[in-house]
Amino acid sequence: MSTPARKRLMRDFKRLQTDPPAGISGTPSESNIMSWHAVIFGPEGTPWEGGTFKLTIAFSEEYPNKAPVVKFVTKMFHPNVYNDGSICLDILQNQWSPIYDVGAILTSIQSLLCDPNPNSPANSEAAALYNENRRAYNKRVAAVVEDSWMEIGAGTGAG
Amino acid sequence: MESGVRHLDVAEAWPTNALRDFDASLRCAICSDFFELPVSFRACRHAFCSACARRSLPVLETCPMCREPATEGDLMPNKALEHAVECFKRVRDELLEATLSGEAAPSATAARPERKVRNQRQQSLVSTEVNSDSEDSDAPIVLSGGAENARAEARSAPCPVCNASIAMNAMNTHLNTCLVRREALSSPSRKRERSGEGAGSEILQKKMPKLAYHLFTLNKLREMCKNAGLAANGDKKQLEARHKEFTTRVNAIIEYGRVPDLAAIAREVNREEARKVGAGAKARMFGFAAVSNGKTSDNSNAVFAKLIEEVRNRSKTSSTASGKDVAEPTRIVDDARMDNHHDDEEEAEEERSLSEDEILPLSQAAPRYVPTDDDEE
Repeated sequence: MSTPARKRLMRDFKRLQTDPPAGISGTPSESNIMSWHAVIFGPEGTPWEGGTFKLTIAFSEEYPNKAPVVKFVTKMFHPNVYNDGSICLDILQNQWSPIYDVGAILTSIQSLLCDPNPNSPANSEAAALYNENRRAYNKRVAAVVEDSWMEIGAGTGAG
Repeated sequence: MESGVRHLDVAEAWPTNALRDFDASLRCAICSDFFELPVSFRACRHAFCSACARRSLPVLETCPMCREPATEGDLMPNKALEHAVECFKRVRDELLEATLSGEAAPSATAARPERKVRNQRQQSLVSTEVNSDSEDSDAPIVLSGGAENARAEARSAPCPVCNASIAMNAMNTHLNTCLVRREALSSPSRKRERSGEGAGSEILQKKMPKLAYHLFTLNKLREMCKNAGLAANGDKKQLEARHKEFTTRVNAIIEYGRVPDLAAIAREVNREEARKVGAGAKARMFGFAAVSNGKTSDNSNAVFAKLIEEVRNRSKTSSTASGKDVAEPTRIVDDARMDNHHDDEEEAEEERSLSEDEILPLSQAAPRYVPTDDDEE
């Protein structure tokens, strides 16, 4: 039962396994290649370092002509991440291109972590702190990073 | 193919980065299949499948690679690339086999062969294969029977009618269908012709127009689909998507200077839609759409834990979060099926079983524009 989207996702998975970008990993669900789990490690040398951030990615049969829906499962504190985990990122909206694959999407989100776009805030508190009080912002980020570890063993969400 | 071994149709099937890059360089960045009717953008020269480029252009209005503004008029057939892809596809299975068996063969001299030595072996294997296929043809070649057959199959020439590259031993069959189709086109009494309907089906050399579908009634859309040989069920949105996809595929071939087999294209569009619907129903049955709502089940947590573990294993040198008590690794390793990142052999086997359902080996994938009488599958 192979469709263009499924074929492409299988190849995305192969590429991700063979040549994974640093601090990124993802896998399709066992019985549905259209929904993925992914993990992004916070980039080293940034306040996000050490954090393990979990995401889900939902693809449609329109992929790669339409962007997937990517959401953080981990509770985030970031100017461009909504409370429900949705991400405000241009390449997932109007700047999408069908040449992006799962690795490229996750890499972009990883670099969004320490390079937020405060002009399109999804979390106004985070955006304000980022602009006006970087120390307090970094403290909040450090808390999110710590919480991201807690979630692993606990079995239930930390939120 | 005669070898009987089915190789995965992915660039990652190759054992080295250089070979993977080579394989990937002949694939479209949009569909990740080998280029089918490759076209290049006039300004930036980036290449994609004709249909892939045309599908993305209405939304993007730029080259998908570099975002250089472009329209469909900027797409030029890239026949050299098409030829390269065809040649490579013919030898790919054979080359892969030679490369992989060279890779897997245990070295007689050393228990643990040096990487360099291994690479050399591979290279020599590859180059002999390539040479035997590309050496100047007037030199006398002595080959075993099996190889001779393979060579005959591999030799091809452009069809004098439609100009598609056809294997020599399949030329007669191809010409039969090709000539009949031409005749049908030029004969005045065509059944398809109907009350100004679907300008594209009247003169096949002419591009099908882009239609303002929202202006059509449901019945009109149904009729258009029916006349094109497409399924006529579903709502307006489905009918529109179906007809649009058909138009894209037909134009992708016409703009390449080829003659599309409308009936075959319609069949393929119908079939692909059925596959999508079927796959979607299967996924819903398993209830896996739930993953997207951000709720984590115990199963999700196990998967996440495994992914984290995988990255940690990857970069053992980098400092891990040691101050905190992270999860005990023993708890994570419970799901044998997903746990494929520790044992290389297990991993390879797992990949194979997972992907064979999803990706046809190359030898089974038929190019769409070649007319076939039999309905594959």
